Amino acid sequence: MSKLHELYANSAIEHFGMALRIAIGKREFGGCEDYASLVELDYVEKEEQFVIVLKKFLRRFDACARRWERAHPGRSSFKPSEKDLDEVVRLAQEYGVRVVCAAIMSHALVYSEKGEKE
Amino acid sequence: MTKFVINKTSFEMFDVFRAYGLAFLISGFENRVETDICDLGSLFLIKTEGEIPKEADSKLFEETGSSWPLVFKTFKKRKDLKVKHPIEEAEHVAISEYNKILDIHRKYDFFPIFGKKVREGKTFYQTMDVSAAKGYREEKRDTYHDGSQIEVDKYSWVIASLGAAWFGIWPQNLMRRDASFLMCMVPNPKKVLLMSHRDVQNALDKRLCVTSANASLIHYSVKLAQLTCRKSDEIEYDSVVFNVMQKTGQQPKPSGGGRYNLDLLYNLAKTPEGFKALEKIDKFLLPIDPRIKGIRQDIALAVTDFLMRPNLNNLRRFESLYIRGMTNKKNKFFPWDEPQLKEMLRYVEIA
Repeated sequence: MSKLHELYANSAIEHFGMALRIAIGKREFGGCEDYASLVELDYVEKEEQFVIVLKKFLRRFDACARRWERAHPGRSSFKPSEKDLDEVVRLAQEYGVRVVCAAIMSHALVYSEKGEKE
Repeated sequence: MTKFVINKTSFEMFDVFRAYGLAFLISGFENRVETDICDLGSLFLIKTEGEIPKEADSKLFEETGSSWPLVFKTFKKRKDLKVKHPIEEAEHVAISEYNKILDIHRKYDFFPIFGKKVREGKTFYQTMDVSAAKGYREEKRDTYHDGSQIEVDKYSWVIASLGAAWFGIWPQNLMRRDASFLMCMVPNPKKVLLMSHRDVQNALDKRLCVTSANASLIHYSVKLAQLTCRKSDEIEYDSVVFNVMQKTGQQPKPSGGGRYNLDLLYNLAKTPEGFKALEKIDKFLLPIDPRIKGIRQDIALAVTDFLMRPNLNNLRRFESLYIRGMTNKKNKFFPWDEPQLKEMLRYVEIA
């Protein structure tokens, strides 16, 4: 079985993938159309760059989550935890940045709960 | 049970056509006897149950429903020509030499005879195997010349013609004037009951993606895997043999050929999720109209590359294109179901 399949099932990857899916989603579905993070994740190759890209992504995602929380008072938005971040960085060191990015991006390809259906 | 043997040569497509052609010559249009073909590595073994018919079925040479005109596409009719049209010639040989054809293929030591001048030899057309095209197998030094035509013995030629005419897959939409290439494909019979093979080929939609020759091949293979994955007791293919020809102002020129292994597609089709993933690929990703441009065409090429070589680079190219397609509402790229995508990721090779 491929390493990518194992990584795809990892919960930290799943949480980051879900965050990316929300981030690139349409505003009407609660997303924030953050294509910059998508492009950065697509081109990152080294571990140091990967950490910077994750930092930028989380900062943008945090702004997006706060905007959503303001629009939906009393409800809290989904965010990847600190543990997830540690795990993703560890996985990038173990399996390589390109494989981890591919696994995160794969999650962005699937349906979100609020997403559009065929 | 009677056994017949087709010894393999270095012409892959020619060998497969000979196997199908001989089996069809015996079974006839109405499946007079049960015939199956097995690939045993160095030869194809054809087994028949029941009494072998005494003569060839003349319906096999009718043009309706077959690709006879395509097989002899390069044959030019001229008023002063003294030789018969190859279709008539094939019919004549098959009917008059029926018993001889069966007899020589009962022996394990019969190999087709090739050369520039074979006794009673027939022209080996490039539509039967692209590597038979003029000049492919000879050195050209100092001055350019077109090369000479290869000939093959008439017994092998007639069964290969039959196989090419009835079992070669010529995608219908490649006949359009704006398609730049011609293609012929045939699934390699690992273990095939001829009757079931004919049913499958009749049921298969022959309109394929014409973005590139590889895309056509993948599209056909995806359709084939979907249709045959649950019939492994009657039909087992292991690969698809293909030949590509480039259209020109005159005759089509040889472009390439090879064999595509079906293991990945069959592995995917085994599980319900993988099967649905193949349906999605078939439905959305492969445009059958060559006028479709832009991201849909890019996706067709990316998914083709991925299914040909399922490695990380090809997956990442496909992913990033697909996400871009999803973010633009105009493209109508819908997200994947998680189990389907997960099943595809199982086969990604990471170097």
